Amino acid sequence: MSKIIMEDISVEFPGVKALQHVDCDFEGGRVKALVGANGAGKSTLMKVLSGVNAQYTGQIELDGVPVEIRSPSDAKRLGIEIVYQEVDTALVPNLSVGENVMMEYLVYGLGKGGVIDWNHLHTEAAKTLENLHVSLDTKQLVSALSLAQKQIVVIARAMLGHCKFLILDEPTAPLSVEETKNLFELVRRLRDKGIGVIFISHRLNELFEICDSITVLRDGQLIKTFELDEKTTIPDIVELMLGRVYNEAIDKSGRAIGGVLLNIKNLADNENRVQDICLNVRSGEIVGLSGLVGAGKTELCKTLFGAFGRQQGTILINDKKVRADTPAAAVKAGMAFIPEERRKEGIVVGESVMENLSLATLKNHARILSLLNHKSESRAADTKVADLKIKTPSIRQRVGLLSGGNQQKVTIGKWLDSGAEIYIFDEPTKGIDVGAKAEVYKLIVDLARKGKGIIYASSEQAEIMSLTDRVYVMYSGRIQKELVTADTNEAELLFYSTGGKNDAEQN
Amino acid sequence: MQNKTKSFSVGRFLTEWGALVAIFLSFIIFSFTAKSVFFSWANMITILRAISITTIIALGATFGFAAGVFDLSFGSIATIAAAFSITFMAWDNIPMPFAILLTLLACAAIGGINAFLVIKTHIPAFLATLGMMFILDGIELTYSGGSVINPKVAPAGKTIMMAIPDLFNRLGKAPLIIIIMLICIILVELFQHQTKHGRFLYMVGSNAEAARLSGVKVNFYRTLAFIMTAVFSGIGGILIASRAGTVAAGVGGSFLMPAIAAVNIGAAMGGRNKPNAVGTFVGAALIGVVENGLYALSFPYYAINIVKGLILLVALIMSNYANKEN
Repeated sequence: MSKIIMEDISVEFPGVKALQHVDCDFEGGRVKALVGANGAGKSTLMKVLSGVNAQYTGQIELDGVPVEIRSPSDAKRLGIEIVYQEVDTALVPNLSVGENVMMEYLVYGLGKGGVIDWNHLHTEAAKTLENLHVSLDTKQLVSALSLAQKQIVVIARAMLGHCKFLILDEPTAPLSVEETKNLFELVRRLRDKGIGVIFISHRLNELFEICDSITVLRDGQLIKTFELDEKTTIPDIVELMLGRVYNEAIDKSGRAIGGVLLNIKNLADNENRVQDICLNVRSGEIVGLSGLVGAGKTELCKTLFGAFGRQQGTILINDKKVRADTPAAAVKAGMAFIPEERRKEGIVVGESVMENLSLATLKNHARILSLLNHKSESRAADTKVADLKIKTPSIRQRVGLLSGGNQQKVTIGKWLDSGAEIYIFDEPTKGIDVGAKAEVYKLIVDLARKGKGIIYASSEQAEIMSLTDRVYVMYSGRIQKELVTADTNEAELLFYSTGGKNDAEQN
Repeated sequence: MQNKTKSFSVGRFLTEWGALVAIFLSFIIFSFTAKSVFFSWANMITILRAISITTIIALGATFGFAAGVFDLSFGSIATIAAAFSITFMAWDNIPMPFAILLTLLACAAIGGINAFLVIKTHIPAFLATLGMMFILDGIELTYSGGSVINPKVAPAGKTIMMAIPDLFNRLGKAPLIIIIMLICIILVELFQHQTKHGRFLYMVGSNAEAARLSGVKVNFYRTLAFIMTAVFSGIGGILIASRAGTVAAGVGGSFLMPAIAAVNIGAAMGGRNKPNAVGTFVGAALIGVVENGLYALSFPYYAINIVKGLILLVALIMSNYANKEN
């Protein structure tokens, strides 16, 4: 059996120590889990192993021989293959399964004439798929496949070389239960053939099913490597992943939590991205939406705001049933949305600060024949810039030239005079610096002080703990658990986020 | 005044006001080189008259460019409008005001179909309107039987019901055609830069998703853009008919490219960096002045398009430079 030993691996980016002196080994014929919270260093470690991250220090040994992995082709030559979560980026949709599996042959193996031996291509591809015990027509177009099938095509391609180690980066996140089961069977078969599988997943309960051992990373350091047996429990792993408990103190005083402002019953979108959503928000209350990346938080926010079109279920605002099947209708019903993808969905980067600040409320500045009152528009913009402390040389500045934190303030600012009662924030502190984060928190608390209802979606448990009053934990597009923030902790949030069900399972 | 964070630079000045500078320079050059023909009041009127149809059709195109939907069918819409307006009167005996109104309504409907195709079927606008272009050209050819529509000569199976009113013929001549153009420029400029709807049109063009998630009805503004493009092409088409008195097949198509050029030459004007009415007029004027001057110099007719192409390329390179500097 082959064996990789990584010793004293460190990776440093400007200002960030992504990995610090990590020792880790992987063996053929075994499945090893790699877990850690967001930013723990899992991806960085795997990027080192797959040659994507060439700037590492430390030694790597393969079967006792020191090796250098400084490019993806180095890794391939050594038999290390990686399948990323976004399989679509690795496939050419309008080519056939056979062509995608045999990509290597098409790119490097054609010889001088450049003539494709279609017979060879399809028989080889079919043979590879057969070895994996999957039946897929090699002449079918990849664009017609399901996500799970696409994954198999990528894995099949990886198997074509003399693959010794296969890294699967969150392979089950987009899969259904049945598809996950099939994938696990495939993984077991690969393991039995002597291939070492490295399995990255946030779904901790899955690990017990498929993994032999587990390595936990936190803040770029290796915390512990151990065999997975019956004695290990999800809370044990969660504790190792989190380690410390930290609370940034946020002043949330001066709020009066009143009656139910927003009440959602059995909400679902038209493509079942989210299902059976029941939640409520009181005035002055900050309600968290917790969950891992891909749990459906963004989808819930967008469904509620009408961005996916007509929903199922009912939305009540102030006990009145409202229609919110388009964003325009949602705005009218009293909602405001600060989306996760700020530059793509929140602001119009090419336009001025003023035009962005008035985007949601331009009708306030329109007179007869919808002629604009430029004076009142710029006055309103000046006020917002002063109130939110937006750092910009002028309200005519293009908003794309501002820093991330100031762009986020503009995104929030456009709603301030909209009369919205409910503010939906989706990862509003993503990609902005610590100082700006604190300011955004303060803005949100200020809104709550004015009696607004706040929904705050975040995949950072620490943020949920320090900012919210109540929290709904999401898993797989559903609400897994409702918790009162004061009575819970990060470990419990993570427990439910990773698919934990109830207290009985913890034993 | 606009707050300029950067100090004055020659490059920036040229990109923002280059079209005006170029018109000014062309004026001086042609005034000296072709003094007797070019520099006269009558010739100025000729230039304005010559660019008026291009300008009006191009004004329509600014709506599409502003909202980020590229309409390729507007030249053919102009042809249809020309054919409809004249035949509604000559063949169908519809009084002039109603004939014009009906023509414009038909154009608006075509714009609406374009919008429907692009919004509901998600075909790229460029291709959907390419299809529409062929269909419209085909409809016009079928309608006219493939020959030039002459309101004085009835084709087989038709009778001439009404002589074209004198007022209709005057619409396409100076001074009326120039006045119509100026009114259109003012109206479009007011709409695009002084009203809420104009602002949203640009916002949709800049970032449709951000606009949508701010509560802007994106599809409404895309539809509006297609309809406005079609209506202004319709006005242009009616003026084509009125100026020539007859309608040749595909006559509107010859305005497609000059109009696109005018919009894009004018987009960089005044540092706006987006399609706008006044800039479009300046763009059309630049092309018109150069074309007229070259005629006055007896420049070979067939080579004039080479110069037009060069003007467009220089304008685009300059506005690209402006975008980079930002």
